[in-house]
Amino acid sequence: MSDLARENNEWFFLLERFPELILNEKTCVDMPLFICPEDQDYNVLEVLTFFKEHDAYHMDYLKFLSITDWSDVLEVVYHLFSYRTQKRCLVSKRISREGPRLHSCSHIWPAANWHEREMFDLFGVVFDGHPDLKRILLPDDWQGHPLRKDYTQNQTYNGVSTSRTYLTQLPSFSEDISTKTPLTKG
Amino acid sequence: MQYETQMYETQQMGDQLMELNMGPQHPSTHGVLRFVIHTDGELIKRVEPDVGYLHRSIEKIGEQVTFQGFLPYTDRVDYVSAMTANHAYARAVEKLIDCSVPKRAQYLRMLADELCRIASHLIAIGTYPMDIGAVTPFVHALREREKINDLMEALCGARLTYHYMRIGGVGFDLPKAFETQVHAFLKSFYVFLDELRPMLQDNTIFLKRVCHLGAFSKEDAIAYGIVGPNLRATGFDHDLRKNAPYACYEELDFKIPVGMGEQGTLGDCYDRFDVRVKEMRQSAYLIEQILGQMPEGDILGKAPKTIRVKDKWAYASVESARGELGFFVVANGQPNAYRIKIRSGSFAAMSMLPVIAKDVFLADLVAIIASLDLVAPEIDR
Repeated sequence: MSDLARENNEWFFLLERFPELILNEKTCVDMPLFICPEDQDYNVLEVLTFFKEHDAYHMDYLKFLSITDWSDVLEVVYHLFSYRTQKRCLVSKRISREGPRLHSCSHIWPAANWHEREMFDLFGVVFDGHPDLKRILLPDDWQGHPLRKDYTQNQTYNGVSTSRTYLTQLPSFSEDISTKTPLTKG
Repeated sequence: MQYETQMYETQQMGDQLMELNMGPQHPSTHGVLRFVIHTDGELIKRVEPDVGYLHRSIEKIGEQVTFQGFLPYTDRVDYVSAMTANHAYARAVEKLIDCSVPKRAQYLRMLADELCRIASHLIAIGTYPMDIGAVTPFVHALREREKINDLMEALCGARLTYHYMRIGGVGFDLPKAFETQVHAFLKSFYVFLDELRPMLQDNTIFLKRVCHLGAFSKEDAIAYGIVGPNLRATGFDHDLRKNAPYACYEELDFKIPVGMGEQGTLGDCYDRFDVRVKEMRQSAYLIEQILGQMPEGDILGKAPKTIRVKDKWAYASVESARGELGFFVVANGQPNAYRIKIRSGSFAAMSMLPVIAKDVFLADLVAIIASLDLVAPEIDR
């Protein structure tokens, strides 16, 4: 790329170092999204370290970590921001739904420690190298990972019912309520 | 579960650390929080926060209800400062559907936000001395907050969980004589702020409890993702209202108070307290300006009744009383969101607590927790 391109493209250094990244500016409003290759062995940690340490980006603030369950694959999204350069971007990596694993980035940003625990809790993604990976919002003996799309809640938790039986008799929204028999507590 | 078995082993005399349980029901935890504390005598060697008691799976609910239907749930994310949560979510959806908000609605939103910020800071300022043993300021602060609750009730009919904002604007215009009522409130509020200094900030007992305590540097705060007044107390002036202006904040004149280490170390509990007090005064100035510059016009923009957006994501955040509160919304063509992620300030602050509350006295833990202004429902969502 020429010098002009270097000046105009704020993501020049990144795309030069990682040409395999796909820059997507359409999906997220007002924010560039970098999509990592779907290769299972691809190390997203190198990209994140580069973002943190390169002077042109200096992403010192990990805003959050989010996962979207696309039914066939889990998409992990890192939201990065730099106080010094005021740049922000998303980095996304798709991982398999069966036995999902990723490298922990809690040594790059200590903030990631709890965000990764939350993602482990709600989606079941295991972060290798995490100092203390355990459930955070749900009890330690909870079954399943609730934010997955195919999650079904157990009927009981430690012998306590998780649903109110009389609520199941409510007519659904699509049916005509007037034809139903009056609600009785079960 | 796993703590129970350890508890019996460590409760013997010896050179081991003693394990103490604090919470989940404890008057100074501001909600339902639990801490497992490992102490050596009076000194805390390790503290593990155990959160999740107020987890209501609001993110999962967001996937089940329509975009508009989720607005009342955002009130419950942070019920001490519900307006800002409303505002952040409304902005995220407006970004998705590319909807413009009328100017009067923007001003009404800012007015509601600033009133709510004062109400939230009054809780923080009032409960802080109460947690460390002084009850009087709490009564004074709550007296002022009660007036804001009355104003909010006049504005939108609710006193705590407002559901005032809509996608594209706000629900209600100003009620009759609202401006006069706000000015009357501000008049008594300035008196309260002046009273606060001799009551607390010049009080030797209070200063001895909070100065030099729980200080952390700007670099640590950034690394742990600390936002809002806790970040500004370290001397770093980052405020979304100035640095990434939303609504019409760039038209208003206000300062960002930062910690200066006046009474002790930079970024200690006193600085966090002081920043909140100064922020309340700035919010009061902002309210005066907003009322003075309030334009005429519509209060609700044109937003579609059924929102269907194909494969688009949006992230929007506002400066809540506890810092950046952001909503990340993923849409896939359905009238409900495919995924909603909430980024809250208390979650980050709580994750830093084990680092701050190390080698401090057991009694000071309460002072540190309260100075971070943690609100449990915002941590657990």
